Amino acid sequence: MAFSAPNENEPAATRFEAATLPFMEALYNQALRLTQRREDAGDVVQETYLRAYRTFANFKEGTNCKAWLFTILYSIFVNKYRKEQREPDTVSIEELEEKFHPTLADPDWETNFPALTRSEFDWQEPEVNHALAKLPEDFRSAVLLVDVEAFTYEEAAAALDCPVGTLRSRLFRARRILFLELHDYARRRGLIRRPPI
Amino acid sequence: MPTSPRHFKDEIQDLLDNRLDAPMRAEVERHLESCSECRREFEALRWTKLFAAQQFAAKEAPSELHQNISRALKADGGSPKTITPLRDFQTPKLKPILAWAAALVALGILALILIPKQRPLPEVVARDFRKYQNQKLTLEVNTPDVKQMEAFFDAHGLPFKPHVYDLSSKNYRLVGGRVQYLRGQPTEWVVYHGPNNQVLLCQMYVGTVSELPAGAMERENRGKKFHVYQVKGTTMVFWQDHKVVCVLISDMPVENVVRLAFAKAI
Repeated sequence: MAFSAPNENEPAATRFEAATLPFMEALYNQALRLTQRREDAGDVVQETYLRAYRTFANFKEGTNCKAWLFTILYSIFVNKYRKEQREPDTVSIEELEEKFHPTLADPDWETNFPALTRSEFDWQEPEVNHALAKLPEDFRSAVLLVDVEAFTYEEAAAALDCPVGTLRSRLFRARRILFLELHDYARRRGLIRRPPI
Repeated sequence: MPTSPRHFKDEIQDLLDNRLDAPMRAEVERHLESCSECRREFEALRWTKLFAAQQFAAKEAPSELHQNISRALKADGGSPKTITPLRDFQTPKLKPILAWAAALVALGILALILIPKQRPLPEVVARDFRKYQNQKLTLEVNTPDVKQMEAFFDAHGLPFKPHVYDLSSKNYRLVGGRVQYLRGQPTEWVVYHGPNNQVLLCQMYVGTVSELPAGAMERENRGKKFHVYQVKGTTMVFWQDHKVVCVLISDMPVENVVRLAFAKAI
């Protein structure tokens, strides 16, 4: 897979390709999780590459290319797509978070938690994706950047244009809610027999 | 459930994300041993982090996307220009960042002087990976040939029988390697390039995984345990192979590195 960039700019195009191409799938995954639509995700990624290419002269080699690309992607998403997004049936955050500690206090935790984390449990993709999609977009992005893309807090905060403290808080709450959603799903599937408290 | 007088909150997440210094990490770990509430929270969050890394990792992008991008770049026709960059990479934020960076560097130097200590192994391994990426660490031999690579290590008297993985079936081509010293011990250090030029490093050294610090995500595959660390965006997957510890290191998404480790550790 190689880009055919303009001939007169071969060195820059080659450098652009080498620096950015490895991140195409990660960018697409992020865009898909944000827009929830394959066509929109493709458009966001395409525009990300275009903008990145046009500003490539600003990019300093040796700095974090992946973080740079994700920052561009988020900027495009925020400016062009977020307004059109129907915020999915996001949960009431405070309401859900209140269940976190009571769930951890489950007297059968020592049995239930290993059952939940058993690797052979067949998590169904639509349900799992739905659990992620239910998170507010800012929370979802924090999980995707830090846990999936292995960004540092600082890189993720820069991409999302928010302070590191905000990113940390969103991540913390997102993980709690995601845990509760998955816990609830496992209970509905009969993996955890005892209902959460 | 029994509880301790003080519970941790942010610190639990910082432990999970390897953001605590050694004294604080030790304090939180001690607390987790005695406080089931915090321990359960740590376990729940750690599992959720791992689950997210596994379940939400990038799948293959549509095949036409690459062509579309290529076409769009051609149609754009222009060359990379120096124009106002997007937010976050503009210079106004640079000054406070530099000031903070300078302060952190000063503090770091002070800490180094006052607290001489050995850096945790994952940090050292990640640092060497970065050095290679920044061209501050070069290969001693460049070869795509596994046997030739093994012969090189054999000739350099490593304290174990050299073994170089052939990852060609996974589309990773051998680039070369070097004898890299880790805490004074020679190690096998091999570099591969992936299908999209991702860098993958495999390091092997005599030791045990019990020397690794706390805070790893533990994975298991076919009865073998894998210890997953992340340092500044670099993923490392350690596992024991007889007297040798193997580690795969890359900037790729966590799950990709874990899958490769699962495949090669059989």
